[in-house]
Amino acid sequence: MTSALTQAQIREVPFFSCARSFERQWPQLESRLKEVVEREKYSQDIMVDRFESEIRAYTSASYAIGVGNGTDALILLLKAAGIGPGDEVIVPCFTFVASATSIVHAGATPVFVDIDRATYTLDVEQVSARITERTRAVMPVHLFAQMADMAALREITRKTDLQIIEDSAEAIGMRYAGTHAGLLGIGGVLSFFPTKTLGALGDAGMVLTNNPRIAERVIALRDPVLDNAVYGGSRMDEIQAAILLTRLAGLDADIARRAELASHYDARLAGLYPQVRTPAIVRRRDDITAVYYVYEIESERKKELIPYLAAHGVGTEEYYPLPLHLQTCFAHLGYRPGDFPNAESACRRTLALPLYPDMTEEDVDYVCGVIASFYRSVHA
Amino acid sequence: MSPDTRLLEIIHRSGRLQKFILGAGVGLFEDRLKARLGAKDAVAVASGAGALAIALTAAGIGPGDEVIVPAFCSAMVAATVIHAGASPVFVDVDIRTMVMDPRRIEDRMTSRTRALLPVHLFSCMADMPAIVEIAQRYGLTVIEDACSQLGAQTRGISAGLWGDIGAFSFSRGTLMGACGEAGMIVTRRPELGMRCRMLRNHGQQEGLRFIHKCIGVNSRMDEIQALYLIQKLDELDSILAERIRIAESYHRLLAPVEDQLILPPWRSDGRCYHEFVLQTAERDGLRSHLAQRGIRSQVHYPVPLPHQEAFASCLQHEDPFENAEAASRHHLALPMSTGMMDAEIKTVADAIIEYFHS
Repeated sequence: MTSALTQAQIREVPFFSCARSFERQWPQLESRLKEVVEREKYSQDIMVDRFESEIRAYTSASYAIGVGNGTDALILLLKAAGIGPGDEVIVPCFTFVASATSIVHAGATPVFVDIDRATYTLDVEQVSARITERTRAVMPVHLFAQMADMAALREITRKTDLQIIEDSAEAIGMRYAGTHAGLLGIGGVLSFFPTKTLGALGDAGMVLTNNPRIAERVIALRDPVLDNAVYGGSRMDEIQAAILLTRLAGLDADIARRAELASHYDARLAGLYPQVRTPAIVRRRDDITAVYYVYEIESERKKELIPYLAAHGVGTEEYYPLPLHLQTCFAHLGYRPGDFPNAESACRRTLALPLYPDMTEEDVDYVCGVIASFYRSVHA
Repeated sequence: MSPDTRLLEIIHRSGRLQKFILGAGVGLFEDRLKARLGAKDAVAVASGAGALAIALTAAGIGPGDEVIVPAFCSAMVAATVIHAGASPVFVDVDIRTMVMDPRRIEDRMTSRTRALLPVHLFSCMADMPAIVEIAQRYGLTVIEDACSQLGAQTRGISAGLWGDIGAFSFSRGTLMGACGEAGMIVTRRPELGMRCRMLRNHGQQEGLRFIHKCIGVNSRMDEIQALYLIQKLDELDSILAERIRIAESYHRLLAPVEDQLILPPWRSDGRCYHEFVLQTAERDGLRSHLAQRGIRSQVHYPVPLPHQEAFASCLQHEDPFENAEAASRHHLALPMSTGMMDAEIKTVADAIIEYFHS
């Protein structure tokens, strides 16, 4: 496919960058880092303590426990909740793999369920059919911009006496009926992977819970020495905590900026409907707070659109090319193509466009212009 | 400039260039370490424990398997075996070196034994020629916990490379401590290295995002750690030499009370002075004597692994773990840090001599 733009018109819009805000925040960050270097304590020390306390304030969680990454946070949370061998945990099949591998690492079996086509979160109506006598918990995943239908899910778990363990790795800032994501069940997690709404410069994660017994277990499990029954522990680096503390101050402004950029995308892409479908926030109730972590669009031609965008300097991510039930790593669970049509259709169409506070409206205009030129060229 | 003063520069650069995890810096550090140790592959991970866990899984250790582990070492080692789904089977250690005694291995073998997991400890590598010989005779895998022994060699072969696969830690207390959590897997078998690369990053084949071949973990090295460790690697030889200097002084100065102590054997092959650890029946008395003089000494493993509650359900044997029990009761790590002055070393040695002479 030939490019509709000349080389001079190409603008680099990486999938993610926080280089500009990093430079702006550097003076503040530098003084925190100097404190770390002076103390010569580089794992889980005062910066992690401070960051945990700030996150408690931000989310209203009783406990916020820093660990090495979001995946470890899920594993530790599952173990702390007593999930183990013989247990089943219901989890959507359209999510990052860690939602399900964490269940395997806890010794239990993931049982997949399809997603709601509009929100990409688990289809609560299908949960009941997946419950067996071994089911111990349901793990909703709050994906991209919004939370799962928690009221409906709680209705089911209340009746069946199941635990809710939230994969809220992407959900910082998201709230449901005023409660922060991760705190609607027994506990949840946060990931601070660099591209996240609140991102570090490396791996870092956290467990959120209001339950003192869960918190106590997680604190023991993350420690490499205290809890002999679990390997190695999982600790957050002080350097990452210093970065996260610095960024947290601007989190609400970042979230607002993401929403502005998302609505700018919505407006610019509206003319390309139905070839391009923009993300929809489903407001089942008034008191939910969505956060545009990912701007996920759908296109029947995503396999051509991705390289076209790349050729024009625009980075994208495929969240996700293959649903979990069809991944080689879960082949032993015996699922087949066609088992979860919504997830499979989402995988054929979804791609994420660049969305981060450092972007300008001009960047968005450019990305949308490239997409429009792609459709002109395929229809020409 | 020392790596610590360069650290801020490294972080600033990572932020400016937006290089986060498993990037070019990690690749470069892997290559440097691979070349230095003579490994076929070096795979950077998030911690020493992560390295050992991934090494076990990559070597195919799983449910139903037994792994022979020394009775005296970090609980993390046996816990990692359990986490892999296998059972640790404890063997006693050598009385002097406190590492796995190869003469005890065959007694502990059953039809389920799949691997030997020697742990190089304090300043001594396990007797790798003997251990590898046993492994070859019985077709067992050898996984080396070399976490604290970067730089040790036996007969010119680095710790971590005698067996099939080995784990290193760069936790702060090690000879080459990172500025956070970091670890490394080394191997002479490229296919094991490939498997580790998938396992460390969610079972993804390198370069293929969100396609998961196997159940992996998240254990990845940050770019900041890699760039910092590249600088530290340049200092490793001088750190090792420095440690030998301090150990030599301890050996020389403690000669007058040598017969009241068990000191680590004095030779250079198979040695790396991460810690200078002596053994004495009067450990607790000596420790408080030193503490009274403001000298901090350390007891690392007060209870042998077979006697710990966490491993109560593991396969046990009737034979006592005599040497592991003695090591637990008797070992004491003396102060040892890079840049330690001769006078400081002498103060410690004098206090020890004073204790035994009074």
